[in-house]
Amino acid sequence: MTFLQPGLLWVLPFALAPIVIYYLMRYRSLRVTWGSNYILERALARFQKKVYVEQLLLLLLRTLVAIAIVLAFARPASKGKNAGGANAGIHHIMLVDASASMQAGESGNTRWDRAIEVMTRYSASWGRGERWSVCVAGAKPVWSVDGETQLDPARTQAILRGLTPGQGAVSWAQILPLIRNRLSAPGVELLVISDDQALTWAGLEQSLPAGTGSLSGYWVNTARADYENSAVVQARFGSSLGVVGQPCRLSVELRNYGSEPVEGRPLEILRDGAFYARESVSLLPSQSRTLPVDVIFDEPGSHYVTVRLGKDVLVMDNTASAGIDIRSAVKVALLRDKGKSGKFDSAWPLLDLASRAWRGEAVKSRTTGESQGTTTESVPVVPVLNEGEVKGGDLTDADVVVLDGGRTLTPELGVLLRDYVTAGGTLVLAPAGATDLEAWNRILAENRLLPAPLSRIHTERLAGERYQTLTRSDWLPSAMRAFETEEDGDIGNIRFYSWVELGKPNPGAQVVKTFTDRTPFLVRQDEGPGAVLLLAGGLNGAGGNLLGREFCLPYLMRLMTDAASGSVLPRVVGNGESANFFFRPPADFKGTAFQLDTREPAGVTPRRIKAGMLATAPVPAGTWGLGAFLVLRESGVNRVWVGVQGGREDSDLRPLTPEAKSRLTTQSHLIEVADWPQLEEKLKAVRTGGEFHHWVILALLAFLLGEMILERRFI
Amino acid sequence: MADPTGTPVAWNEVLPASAQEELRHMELMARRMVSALRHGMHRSRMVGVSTDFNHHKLYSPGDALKHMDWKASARHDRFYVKRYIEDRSLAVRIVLDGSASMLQAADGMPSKYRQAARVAACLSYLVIKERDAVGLSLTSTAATTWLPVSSRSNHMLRILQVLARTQAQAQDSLAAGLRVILDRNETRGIVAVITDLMYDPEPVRKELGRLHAQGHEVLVIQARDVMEEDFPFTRWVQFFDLENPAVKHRLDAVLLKRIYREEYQDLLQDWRLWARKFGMHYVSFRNEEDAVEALTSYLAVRARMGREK
Repeated sequence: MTFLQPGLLWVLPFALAPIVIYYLMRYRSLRVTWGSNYILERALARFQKKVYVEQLLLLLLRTLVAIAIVLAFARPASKGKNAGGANAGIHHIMLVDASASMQAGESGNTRWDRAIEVMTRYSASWGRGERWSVCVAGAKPVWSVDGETQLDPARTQAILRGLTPGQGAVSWAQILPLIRNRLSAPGVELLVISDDQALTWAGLEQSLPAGTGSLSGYWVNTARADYENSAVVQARFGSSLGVVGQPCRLSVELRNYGSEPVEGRPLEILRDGAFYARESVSLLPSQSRTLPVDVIFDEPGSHYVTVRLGKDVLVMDNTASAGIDIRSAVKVALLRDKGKSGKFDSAWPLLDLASRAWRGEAVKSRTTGESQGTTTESVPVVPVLNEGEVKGGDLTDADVVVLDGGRTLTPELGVLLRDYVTAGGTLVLAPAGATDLEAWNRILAENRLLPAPLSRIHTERLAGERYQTLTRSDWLPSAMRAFETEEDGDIGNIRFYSWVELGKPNPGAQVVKTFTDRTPFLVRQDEGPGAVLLLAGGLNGAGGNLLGREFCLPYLMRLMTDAASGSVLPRVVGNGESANFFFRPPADFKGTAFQLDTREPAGVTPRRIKAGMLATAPVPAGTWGLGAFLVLRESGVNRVWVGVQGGREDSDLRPLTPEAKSRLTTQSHLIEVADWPQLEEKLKAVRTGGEFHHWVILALLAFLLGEMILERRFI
Repeated sequence: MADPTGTPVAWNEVLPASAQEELRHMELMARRMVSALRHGMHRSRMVGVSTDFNHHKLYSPGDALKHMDWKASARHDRFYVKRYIEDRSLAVRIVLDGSASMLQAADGMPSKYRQAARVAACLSYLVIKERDAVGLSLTSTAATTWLPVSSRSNHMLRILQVLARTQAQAQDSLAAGLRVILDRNETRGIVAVITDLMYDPEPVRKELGRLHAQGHEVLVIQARDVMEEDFPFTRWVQFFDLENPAVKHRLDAVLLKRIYREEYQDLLQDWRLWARKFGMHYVSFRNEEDAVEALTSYLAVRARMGREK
């Protein structure tokens, strides 16, 4: 038997009041002088033992009346089949949805907070000795507690409060079939704590065998009116490498997952944690939008940008961070045919012009020794090397090596170039004009430095009617997408009067841009940490109007920067991927570690590759934030920022439709409740069986009647 | 006379002025009252010379002609002689129970003893007013007071003084007091026993029966206490016997109530039946009632009974 109002049982000792009153009245009796003692003694003679028994019976009845009154208010009920208790064999299983959507809501009152509250109060309703389990449903089900016997309720609640939600999505359709056998065992009381997100419950109807009822239990729906969510889907720089003072294009993708439009939501851009810019964003329901943001960094080194959308119901998908390496300059080395001595005949004039425009400073030709302007150490120097005179160490410092089209490519140079690329460098092939195609095809192909074979050179009359052009769109390198608008330059007006027709790209090479006639213009091939870019249009000023248009220079700068970024491993990774960091260890190098947000750094053992070391840190699934490789040195710690951005699989908070919910609860036999009071009522009905306080009231009336009848005998 | 608290009471409270005033009004009725007493079931058996005509008798040779009722004879064409009741002085012996139980008094009520004393005083007053004789006996185991029968007017004062000064005490000895009457062979008359009847009735009835057999007319007047009769207790009570303070009983009065009341009424009914059986008068009154009024009511009834005879 149990009681629905057990708190009233503390009054039970007071039900013994009749006995107490009996003895009190007995010893505080009224003292009376009496004249009719003769009658009294005759009456006492008749007051036999059986009347004493009746007196005790009367006392008992009075006590029972008091006890019955207390019990009636305490509402006794029989124990139901799920009554619980040490030997009841009830196994309480809680499945808790730990997806990102459970963090929707105001701080301190999120869906997760409500879930924990329900679980702790549910656990408080168990009896000592009952078994319990908790399965935290993330990408996979994890049994945090498995069939443990509850001995200490405080410990149970501490365990529950220590659970944390994840940042990924949950699919009950995938998880429940994995654990259904456990749930269908006899004596299980199942509690599913989850919101009503349609994504979470999608497909469950199909995965449940019809009519099994294997999910008989309760579903605590912790969702409230918190379905309108917007998110920063991702924020990435076009290139992992940037240059001081030059705008680095950050593409911020936003999405409104809700059914209501978003108007004027603030979007903050933080550079290295400090406020940088603010935008105002408006989105229609279910609209995605990509915002371009140019960020300029003033110092070289590893930097990061955090994008933060204004607060809404789900805060954790409103931010994204992206890392970027900033250098003071992109070091470009030009390898040219010594025989090209014309003013515009090679890529040098263009590179020189671009360099000047970049910094506004002059460039010195190292090989010719001619000074064509003043130089300072901060001026990026574009060393021009004659192809036949290049030695092993000449290319080491260059971020990008441009191999100008010529006739002096030797096998030895090919080997040097291969070593350069495999060490992480980027080689830009710019054939045009007088290029020894046979030598190029042979030597570069031997060294796996030819993304596509060179077929033939087209040379048309300058300013003639036949030329090749580029379209603004269809740039694969995201850094080059800046040219999709005219804002950064009208590359559509670039004309190539001399270009190379390329053959079918080799396996592993990628056409990242075509001419307007769809023939390849830029083909890229990654070689280990390095890369090779093949420009069919070349960089020869004599082969086109490249020098005639200043708008080409931003194109060239971005091209070079993007090319140089090949040696910089991505500074944005998705959760579940690995973050990689290639570096040349400093002299006082001690080790590397990876740290995500404020978590404890995890040591990473780098492995040596040809030109340096590669550190790889796996990022756990379902996590995102701002990470950093820590290069531990005796003199300190260098940080290399890496943004970890997760997929927004769980950002769409739209709930199940009423019809879908109805079907789901009907098929699964789950009883939906909104909070602990509702759950408690349902549990009471199951655990307590029938209430029989009305029998107690009948007994009370019977006791009262008996007392009255018995008293009448004495009156 | 002491009230239940033991404080002596003045004799004029035994027969307060208001009672005296009421009784003076009854002086005109006194004769009738006394006659009423005389009209009891027990009359003198002496039939003789008196002025009180009793009945006619057919003339038989030897009857005195001076008693011939010539008028009646003429009317009926037969000869009738008058017969007369001997007119003797009435003797009333009042026996008052002076035991401690008579001190019982409910809150605000006069004690049984006071009521009994008042009845005794009223009766004595009436009898003496008619120049009949009255005597008083106060009985208890502690002391017995005996006042002889007398019709002198100052005897009333002696009676009142005894009633006022004597404290009810100790246990009852009514049977002994009645035996004294028998032993002294007093003139037949009326023996009025004023008591609460709260004792074993058998010894008293035995003596009363002897008195009745001796020719006395026995009148039992019971004074009842309201509390003793109603037993109004609803809690535990410790009873201390007035006659024997060492005797005490502690009990739940609620449980005893019904039985007690039955016993009480049984006792009264028993006395009533017994008195009726032997032709004795039984009068009972509660101490909440006016004792004088109770007495006069009884006497009025008695007078009516006598006329109907």
